[in-house]
Amino acid sequence: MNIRTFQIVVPLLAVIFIFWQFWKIYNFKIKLKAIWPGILVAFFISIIALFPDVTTNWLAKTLDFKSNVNAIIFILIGTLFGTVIILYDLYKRQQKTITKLTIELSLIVADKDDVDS
Amino acid sequence: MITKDDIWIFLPAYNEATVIRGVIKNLKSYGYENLVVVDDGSSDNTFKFSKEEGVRVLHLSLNRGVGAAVRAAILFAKKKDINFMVFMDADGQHFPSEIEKLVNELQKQRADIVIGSRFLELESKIPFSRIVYNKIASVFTYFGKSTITDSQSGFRLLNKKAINNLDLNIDGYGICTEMIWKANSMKLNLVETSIKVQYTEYSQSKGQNLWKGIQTAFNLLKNILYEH
Repeated sequence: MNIRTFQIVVPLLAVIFIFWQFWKIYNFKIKLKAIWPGILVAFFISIIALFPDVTTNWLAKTLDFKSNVNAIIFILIGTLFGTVIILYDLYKRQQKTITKLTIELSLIVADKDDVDS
Repeated sequence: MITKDDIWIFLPAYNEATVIRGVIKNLKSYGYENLVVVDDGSSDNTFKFSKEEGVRVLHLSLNRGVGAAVRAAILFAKKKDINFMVFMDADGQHFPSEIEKLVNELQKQRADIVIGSRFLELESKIPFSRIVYNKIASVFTYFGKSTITDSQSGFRLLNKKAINNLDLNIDGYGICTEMIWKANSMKLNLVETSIKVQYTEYSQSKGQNLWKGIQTAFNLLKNILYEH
């Protein structure tokens, strides 16, 4: 079996990415629940890169697509859609946290004003 | 018997420097001394002018929306053990003389929340865009099994029971509908009374319009989906 360049480069990049994510956890910059979607995508892409024909043919057969390219496009669009939902969820959580902190700060300042006066 | 000293008036304000002094002076002239301006991260002199008028100011350092201002006010009221709180728009569209109407309705109906309705008896000339906005928002209010005619009114009176029980989450204009939903689900006695409003050129340039109505409706929908 001939090993093509992308079969080395893509899994290598995926491993670096996964390692980088775990490094961020190790340094308390991020939580485990925030990295699993990225790790899943990286893992999935590296599997496709390692076994392109077997994986895509299996996907096409499972999803009942005539072409394996269509199956991959379908999966990637689904992944993109899922990522948008996850990002939106994160964004909403951040917004809520910002509001909560802003309100708390305003109440602390109001208390301080009362004490000062 | 509820006296004016028992009532705390909260004015959620965002960039209202043009009118805030007049609104505060007007309220004071009616004998209301417990005034709190909730400055929602204004970029103009709203905070400065309110302070100069000698009222308390709850200052949100970032603009987080009217919902956040209302939530801050309710938390403040809980902390200070306030018995009655009134929300009024800071753009001067509500008349201080109408506060008594809300108080009387609260006592008469033993209500927990009284909403000042612009549509119960059409006493004021209301711009068409505001009417449409309210109709859109009311659709969502009906989902909460409420028949309030003016779900988006910013003129509201809450008693201690409502203050202590309401736990609101929405940051934007959707807070008006959320308050009604939650009051209904908590079996709080929610009533409304007719009020007059004045729409000046200034107040029409601020606040809600048709586009904001659509945005609020979408935000409400997103919040429902997000929370459940």
